[in-house]
Amino acid sequence: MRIMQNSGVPIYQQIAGQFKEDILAGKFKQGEFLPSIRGLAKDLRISVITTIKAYEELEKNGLVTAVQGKGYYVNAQDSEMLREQHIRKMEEYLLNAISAAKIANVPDSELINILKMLIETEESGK
Amino acid sequence: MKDYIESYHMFFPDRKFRFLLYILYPLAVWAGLYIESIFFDGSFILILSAASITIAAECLADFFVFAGYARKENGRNEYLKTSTRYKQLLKMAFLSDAVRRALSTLLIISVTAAVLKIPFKLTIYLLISVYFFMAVALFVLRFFDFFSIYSFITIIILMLYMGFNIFILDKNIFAGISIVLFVLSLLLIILHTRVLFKALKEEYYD
Amino acid sequence: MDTDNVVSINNLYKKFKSFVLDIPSLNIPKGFATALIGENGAGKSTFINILAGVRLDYKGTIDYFNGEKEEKVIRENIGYTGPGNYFMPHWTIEQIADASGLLFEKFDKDRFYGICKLLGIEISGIQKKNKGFNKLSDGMKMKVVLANVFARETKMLLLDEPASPLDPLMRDKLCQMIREYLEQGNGGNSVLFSTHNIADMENVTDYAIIMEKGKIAEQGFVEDLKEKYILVKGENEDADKVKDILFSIQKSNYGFEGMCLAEDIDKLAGLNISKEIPELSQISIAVMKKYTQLM
Repeated sequence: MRIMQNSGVPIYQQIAGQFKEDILAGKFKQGEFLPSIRGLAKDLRISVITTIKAYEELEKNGLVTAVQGKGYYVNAQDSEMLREQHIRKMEEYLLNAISAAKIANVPDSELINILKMLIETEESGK
Repeated sequence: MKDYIESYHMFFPDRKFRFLLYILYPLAVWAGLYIESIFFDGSFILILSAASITIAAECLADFFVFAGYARKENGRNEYLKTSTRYKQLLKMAFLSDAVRRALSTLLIISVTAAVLKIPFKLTIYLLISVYFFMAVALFVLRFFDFFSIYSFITIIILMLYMGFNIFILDKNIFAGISIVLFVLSLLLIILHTRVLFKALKEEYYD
Repeated sequence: MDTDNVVSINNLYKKFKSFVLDIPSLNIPKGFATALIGENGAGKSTFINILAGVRLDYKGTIDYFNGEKEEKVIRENIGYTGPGNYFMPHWTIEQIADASGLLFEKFDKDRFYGICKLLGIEISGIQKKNKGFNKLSDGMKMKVVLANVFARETKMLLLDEPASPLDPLMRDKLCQMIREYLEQGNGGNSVLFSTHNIADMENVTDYAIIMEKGKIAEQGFVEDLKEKYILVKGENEDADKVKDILFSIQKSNYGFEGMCLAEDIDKLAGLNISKEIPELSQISIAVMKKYTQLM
């Protein structure tokens, strides 16, 4: 977990964002508890209230549930929602590729060919 | 028992002081008396010197332990004031001091008296009168925090003691006076604890 | 945010020569690090002294640990540190350790020496030279005092200006020690510290109480305060327009800068301004300035 002090993004949002990525990437099992708020504050060298706010943000987004006295555990991630999340990411990356191709003056047909080639390389690599 | 001694030592300026007070002090008194005996011949003078030196030494040594504790002073010992045991520890230290002084006085005077073959009644009188005057001196001294004032008052007490002795010894009322002084000493100790506690309590208020 | 309180204060009142400590109601949240922010002479030390039981002449009621009535229990569970005459002036580290064992039940002598070592207090050097506590430097004194209080088992720490005599490295260590203390208690340990320079301790502060001339000017969880206030920057030509909406405006050749309540931000619509989330130190300064003007 990396936090940037001066990035303009509030620290609690950065933390929530990174946990969200990890949860959606499946790094946490369903029902697994996130680090305790005070333990996390100690490890990241921040205030407890910041970790609470980060976890509350995750709860707002339906990623975790708070249990009085025990902490926050990871919700079962709706596979449909997860898939949608990943599809959105895919579209985002593809859009980036398209604009990069434009800048490099790569024609659309060549872009598609490169994509196909990369997929094949990925497949054969497995 | 251990707590009594430890709380007493809390007030000592350093570890050396224990050695000074328990061991060096009686030895120094006897050494001084021995030197004095070379110049003066007469057990009476010597035993009175022993009495005076004992009072003087105890008074001056007390400066390094309890100076100023009979008077309220805001802002000292803030840490100790946060503990409920502070008052109790002060009491234990004070009583340890009272007992230790009694034992020191007993040791120095009785050993000196034995060596000089002082009559028993006189020895008892000296023991009690020395302790009483010491108690009076300390009662007054502990209101002050300056060594110069400690020294000054000690000298006054010594002079008063000598005057008192001359008065008493002339009248041969050892037994009676000894009992009176003994009782007064006990009362003084009780009063002294009250004074110390009052000062301590007032330190929590402006 | 709904939390338990470790201390509840009601109608606290104490008159001084130059000001009055007047706190009608205040709750210190449990399980967090609370910063008492204010200028020198604002009443912070007096307030902490009263909470710690070092000062008893005041009016009002203070409730500790959710209704604990026994003084012995309360005092045993509070760890107070202060900048004044704290230990007996002649005490060496060893005497401090011995006395602490007498004064408090849950004092761990080994832990004390361990923390001393961690903080770089050379115990043997001080003992050998027979350097009494009073002869130590200010920074070293505070280190010893902190080592002592963290070596006790307590539920609340009341630290009066702990960071002031410390160098930046030690301040950082102190923040980490506070975080560890909060973690050990798992919500049961609380810290209240005072400071006149919050910037040093901002990243450990959960709750802030801003005090000015004996009264509380503002308080709240840091994240809430950062949403309540917005730091606004704009052009000098607009300075007059914002004069009544912002408070504590600072002008320079390059424009103005001031604090605005989030609820008032719409009043600035249309102006060429930038909005930023303020630091706690900026909020404190703005609040203190405004409060002084009002008084």
